[in-house]
Amino acid sequence: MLDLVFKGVGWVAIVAAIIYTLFLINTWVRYSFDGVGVATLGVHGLVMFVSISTLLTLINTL
Amino acid sequence: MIYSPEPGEVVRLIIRKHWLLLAAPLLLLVIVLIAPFTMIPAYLGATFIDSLPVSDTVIVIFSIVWVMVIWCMIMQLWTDHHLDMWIVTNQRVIDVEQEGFFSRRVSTFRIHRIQDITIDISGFWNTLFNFGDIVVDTAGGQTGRFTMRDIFEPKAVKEAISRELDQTLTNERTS
Repeated sequence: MLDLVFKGVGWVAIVAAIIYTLFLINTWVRYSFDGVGVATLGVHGLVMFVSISTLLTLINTL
Repeated sequence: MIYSPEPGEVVRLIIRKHWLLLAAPLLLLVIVLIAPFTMIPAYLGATFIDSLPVSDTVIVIFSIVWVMVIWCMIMQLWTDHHLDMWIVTNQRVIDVEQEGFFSRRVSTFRIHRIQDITIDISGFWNTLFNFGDIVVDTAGGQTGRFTMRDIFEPKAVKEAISRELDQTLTNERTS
């Protein structure tokens, strides 16, 4: 039962992170005035990709 | 693109809030980010985590969720800071107010409509790090007041805008 709760928390976090990333990309692509936007999205995307991949792996091992 | 340049328009200056306004909350978030990983072992003992009645995987999941939440807050802070600006061109000033992802206000006023420029540096930190507010009054009454808060070197910015104003007025007289 507890594992199911933690799996739920993990999935909610993954969905929230993906939605958040999409909003961030939308804002930066629309309004970025210079190349900083590309760097920002790159770093953010990399961190989120690693985090989400790790979370996905972990909740599958529960 | 954040704005569409008009024919012959050249960007002279891009003004953002002082870096301290970004660095201070950023430092706080970094402390919050690492606090659980350092304070729990330090105050509750290195074996506290092992004594919890949950598996290591669950603890790692919560750690990653924690890092993701703080990371998202950092990105929000950075977005607010970087996309909030004044763009001074040789023809106009564009005031962009970015608040989060869903709130954005863009106001524009012509350089030649400027009537008065005021700077305000008040407070200990503002004086020490040389940042403050700049208020531009334009022809158009109360609605014609534009304020940019906590910018670096407001005096230099005021002088730069004044130079553009003088140049514009000179061009208008000669043409």
